[in-house]
Amino acid sequence: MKNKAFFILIFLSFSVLSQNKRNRILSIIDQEIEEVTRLSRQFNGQNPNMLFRRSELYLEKGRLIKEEENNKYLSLSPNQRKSVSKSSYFRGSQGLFLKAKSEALNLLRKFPKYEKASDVYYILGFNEKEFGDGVKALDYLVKAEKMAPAGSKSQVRIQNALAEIYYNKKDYPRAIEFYERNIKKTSDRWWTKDAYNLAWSNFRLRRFDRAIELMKKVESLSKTGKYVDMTASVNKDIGLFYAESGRMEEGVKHYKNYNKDFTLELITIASFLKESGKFAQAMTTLNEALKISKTNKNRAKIYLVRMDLFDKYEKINYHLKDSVSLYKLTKNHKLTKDQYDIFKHQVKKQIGKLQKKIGNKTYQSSKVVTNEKVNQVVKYLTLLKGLEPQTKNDNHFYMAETYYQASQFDRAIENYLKGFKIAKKTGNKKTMDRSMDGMLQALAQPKGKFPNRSKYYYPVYTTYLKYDPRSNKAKEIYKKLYKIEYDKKNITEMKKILGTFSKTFPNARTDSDKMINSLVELYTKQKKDGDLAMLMKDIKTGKYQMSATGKKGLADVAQKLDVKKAEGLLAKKDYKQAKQAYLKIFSSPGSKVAKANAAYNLMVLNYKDQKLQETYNWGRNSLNLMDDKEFFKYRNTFLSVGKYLFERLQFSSSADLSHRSYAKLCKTQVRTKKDFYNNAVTMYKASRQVEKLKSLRNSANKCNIDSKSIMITDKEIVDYYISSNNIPALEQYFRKAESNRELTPYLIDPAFKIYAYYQKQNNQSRLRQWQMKIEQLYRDSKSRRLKVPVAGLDAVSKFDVARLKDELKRIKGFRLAFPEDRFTSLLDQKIQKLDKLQENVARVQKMGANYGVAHSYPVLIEGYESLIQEIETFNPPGKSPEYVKSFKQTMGQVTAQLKQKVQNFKALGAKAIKDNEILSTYQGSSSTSVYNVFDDMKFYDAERSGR
Amino acid sequence: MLKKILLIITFISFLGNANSKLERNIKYAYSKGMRYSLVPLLKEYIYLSKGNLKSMERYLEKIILTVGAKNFEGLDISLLQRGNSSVSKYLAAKKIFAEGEYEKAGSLFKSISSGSIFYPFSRNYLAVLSYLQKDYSKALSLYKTCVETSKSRLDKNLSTRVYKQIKVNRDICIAGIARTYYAQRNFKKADYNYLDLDKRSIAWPPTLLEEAWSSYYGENYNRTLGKLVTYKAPQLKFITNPEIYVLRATTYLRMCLYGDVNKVVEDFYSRLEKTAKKSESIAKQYKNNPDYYYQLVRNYQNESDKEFYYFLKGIYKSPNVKSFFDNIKYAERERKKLSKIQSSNLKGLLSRNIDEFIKIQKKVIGLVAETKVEKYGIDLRKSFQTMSYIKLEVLGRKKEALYEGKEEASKRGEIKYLKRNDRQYFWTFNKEFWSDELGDYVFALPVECPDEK
Repeated sequence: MKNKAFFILIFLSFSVLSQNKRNRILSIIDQEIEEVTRLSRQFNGQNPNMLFRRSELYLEKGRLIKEEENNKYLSLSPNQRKSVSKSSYFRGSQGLFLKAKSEALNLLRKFPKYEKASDVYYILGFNEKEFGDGVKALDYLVKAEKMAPAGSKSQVRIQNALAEIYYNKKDYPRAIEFYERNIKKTSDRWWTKDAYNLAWSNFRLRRFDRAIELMKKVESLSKTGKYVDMTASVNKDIGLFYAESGRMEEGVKHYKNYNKDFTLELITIASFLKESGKFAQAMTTLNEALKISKTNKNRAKIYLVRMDLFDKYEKINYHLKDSVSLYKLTKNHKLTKDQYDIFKHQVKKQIGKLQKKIGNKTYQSSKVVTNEKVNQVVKYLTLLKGLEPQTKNDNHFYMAETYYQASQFDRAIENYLKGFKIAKKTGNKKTMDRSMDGMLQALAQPKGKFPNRSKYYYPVYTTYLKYDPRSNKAKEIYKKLYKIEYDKKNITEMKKILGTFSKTFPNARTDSDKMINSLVELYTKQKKDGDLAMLMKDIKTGKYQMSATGKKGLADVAQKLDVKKAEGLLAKKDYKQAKQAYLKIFSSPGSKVAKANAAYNLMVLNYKDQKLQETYNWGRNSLNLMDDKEFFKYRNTFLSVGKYLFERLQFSSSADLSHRSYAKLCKTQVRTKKDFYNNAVTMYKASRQVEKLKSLRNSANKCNIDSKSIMITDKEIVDYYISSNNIPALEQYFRKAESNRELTPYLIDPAFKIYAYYQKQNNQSRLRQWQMKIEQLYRDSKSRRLKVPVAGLDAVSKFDVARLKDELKRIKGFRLAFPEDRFTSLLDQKIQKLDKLQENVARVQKMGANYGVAHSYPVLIEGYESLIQEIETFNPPGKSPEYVKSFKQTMGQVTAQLKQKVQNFKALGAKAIKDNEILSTYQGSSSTSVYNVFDDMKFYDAERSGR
Repeated sequence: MLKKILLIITFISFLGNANSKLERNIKYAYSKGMRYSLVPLLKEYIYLSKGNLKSMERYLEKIILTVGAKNFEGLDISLLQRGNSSVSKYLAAKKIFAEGEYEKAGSLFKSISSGSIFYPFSRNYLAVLSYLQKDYSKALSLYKTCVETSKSRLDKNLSTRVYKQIKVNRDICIAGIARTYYAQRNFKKADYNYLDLDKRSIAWPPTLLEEAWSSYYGENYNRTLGKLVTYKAPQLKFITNPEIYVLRATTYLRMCLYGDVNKVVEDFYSRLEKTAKKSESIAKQYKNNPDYYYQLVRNYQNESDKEFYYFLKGIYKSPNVKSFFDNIKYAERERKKLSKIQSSNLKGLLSRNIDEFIKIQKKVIGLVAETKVEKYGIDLRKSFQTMSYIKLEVLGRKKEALYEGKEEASKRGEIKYLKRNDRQYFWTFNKEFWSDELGDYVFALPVECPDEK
């Protein structure tokens, strides 16, 4: 019982199972799995047979599910198939295959010496086959085959499975080898299936005799009922075997034995052969099929397959013959919609192909061939007329197309015109359009190819424009007509067409531009200035439409004429008229270059006439219009004009021209750039235009102006603010100026001006800040060995002198007093402090600032004089007159020495002032420095001629 | 040497004195109606007399027939073999038989005198020995002798317990005849001979299964099913042999009644899977604990698991166990008779003997029950396996038929089967379940296999 219940492992071909049957089997398998699991429990999971059986069942279930999944997947349309993930359709079966594999591997792991290991490997192999891993499947099956007992059922099925794998791998010799091992044992009911596969393997190796022999045997055994019935498959395939082997007659004979109409089988075989690229065999099969075919239905099928083959073969004559036969057949037999469509498609395809060939140069060389093909087209067109009656009216058009391809343009146009007329009558716009296209294309052929084309211009274009005066196509035709007239230089017709065109297509300005331009061209060539002027007028009044660009282009034409005129006047030295002419050029629309040129010449002409303001104005206009490159050529003229204006005290004008000129040269490396810059600086300074000066300064770094020039600019700006006593603006600019390190010593004095400003406001925090700034600037200058201007030194020394005065105040702050030793000590202290003060004074003196020199000695002198006076007025309290006398005597000696010192200091102070040539206000004298701006300016002679 | 001989003489004389006193006490107590309390004294006597029972043989025979030979099987075989009496030979032969020394046992059984009350029992054993040796004609002849001699000894004057023992022996031999025919594959004769067995006999219920098998092999499947359905009768529910289910399923399988097969399999699993687990768990938990098993069987009526209840009831009612329970019951009754004994010493001794006897009975019951519970678990497990195999066979056949595109053969049968179900069928029987008809039911189901006309 146990043995019988188990190991009935038969892998059937499931493809024959209906959905209902499959579901019933699946339900049984589920019950089996459940039962095996229950049974395994009875063995405490220690019976390998249970694991084996379960693995088998999972595999079996997986295969059934896969078949179902496959059906679902195949039922999708190709597009749907592209958009879905294939694996998602096979999840169920994949899960089961994995389970089967896992059970089998688990079994081998737990029971490595399992007696039916070969069957387990067989399952694993089969499983991998289902997974699509042919290599692994083969590995397992080879292992299974080695382990299987010789001659056992296991071995047979493993060998057959191996054979199947080799078959699928297209390794037919090995497939045959394995099938043949068991094929002699005809006792198995699956023999027919294996033999069928073996037959196919032989067929693949073109061993047709063996293949056919096996198929026949399969067929006969299938009928006995003792074997799996493969009759249907044999019936389907044997014809193919015969056909491939070239034994078609035998095949037909074989089919005749079935005693039924087997045309369909032959057609199927032929279709298969055709798909495999075996056209000759396919044709033979079809010819046989046609011979035996008894029904129109089948004949129609045959004709259609043959037409396809003839089409592939390029056998047009045969194709045409079958087409005619099939057409005749349709009188008595209705084709299916698909067949009808295929038929029409075939006919149209041939027409298309023939037309293409007709158009091919190779064929065109032979008129006979071309005519033959044209005739074939005519025949196909007749068929098409029958197949698609609605195309009847298009026949002239198709004919025209054919002639066109054959380069027979006269006949083509004649047919197009006829086709067009018929289409117009029937309101077939599509054909009208296509005919007109064809005609236009034909007319566009070169004269060599179509010598008579001009004959058709008029009829074609006029026909068309009557039919369709406003379409885009009409527009093209107007253009073509216009071109014809242009070629003829027929200005009158051109203007006529232009007028109509402008009215019909007011927005087609590009096209009308071209038309007008070609008219202008003719007028210019023919030197018809009057007509040209009229044309311009018409354009202005809107008679002819023109685009803005077109108008501008036209203006350029006029402008050129004006330039030419102006140049003529210049040459004649008629400057007055020349000025007028240039003025006109400048004020009329036209090119920027011409206008710049006019402005430049006007600048020069006014310069000649010594008209300062006009010279400046035209210079500025010219600079505005002129590009940098153009300016570069004339830069020296502008330098001269600048100088000229400056010399006539036109500082602002000169500065502006210099500034603009400098800007034009900004990116260049020419010396003139620096000249324009410095001139602008000087003249802005002279005209006190500080904002312009600042704007100039701001561009200096960008335009790569040298640091010295920049420093001068900054200095000028700072000076401007000082001179205009605009301390807040000075303070604001100070930070920018400060970044220029060359300017550090110069800035000490302006900083002091700011200090003084805050001093007036008694703004202590700003005072501290600026005092620190001043001292810092001084230290920086010293450390960098930069020469500090006198004003700067003065500023610094003011702080030093103030400190000396503080020191003096402290000395004076304590008074001499008795007793005697205390007096001596206090006196000594005072003298020591005065010595110290003297040292400090010496340091101030050494700095050499006028202020310091002038004000430091007086502090020291005051210190000594104050001490002298204190000693002389001191009376020792409570002392005897003798003592007092003695004291006074002694002190007299001291004061005498001190007085001597005072004298020395006074002499030194005077000498120092003298040595330092202090002319400052401190001595009461002042002088204003004279600054000659001319010294800094560079000018060149302007080119005084026009360009 | 002299010292040694003297010592032996002293011992012998001491034994001789003790034996005669023992003999006197046994005879005296027996005369006062004591039986169960005498078992230890008799064992002592056999030991002291080295199996030479002489006048005590009569007492021993009676007591063995009352309390069962099992109570004496603990004695030393060599001691029993030495004795010339039939009773000691019978005891020795039984023990040797149990140990599997059939030849030796056979010669001892053969040597039992035809006049002995153990003669019919010895024939029974000899018949079994011949059966085991596949000497079926000899077995038949011995069984027949067994039946005849048992019948001839059924004297109404015998005590109930002795009478019962002889009757059971007779019935076993009747069944033995049928079994022997069955072994000879002479199923008709086997069936015929089974009919000789009185349905009231305790030996009858198990033979139903044998009859069912006999009918099965005789391809009389409806009769097999009829025999098996008898086990569903309330009177026989304590017969819990899983083989009954297995045979039923197998029979349906043979008849291709796949729906019925499934039903039997599922019914078996649902009824008994828990019971199997319970048996296994008890066997594991109460190893070598006879007292537990004794209590389990004694209190079987308290068992809540229905199937296990019937199983325990089956143990309780089995001839082996039942006789031990009876021993306990009668031994307790005997205690009341002790007042008849004058000697207080003897009275005390006999009372202790009853205690000891009851203790041994309980232990034996416990040991037997332990074995049965353990075996029941194993049998059930094996039967589950067989049932699953049967079900898989059914599923396999159904699947193969589908693959091969054949209409399912069982379809016709299944439809029919659906029209009547087992319960209804049984209910009809229940109405007519008269004791005299038990085992005589025959089903009327058609065989549904495709090749069956």
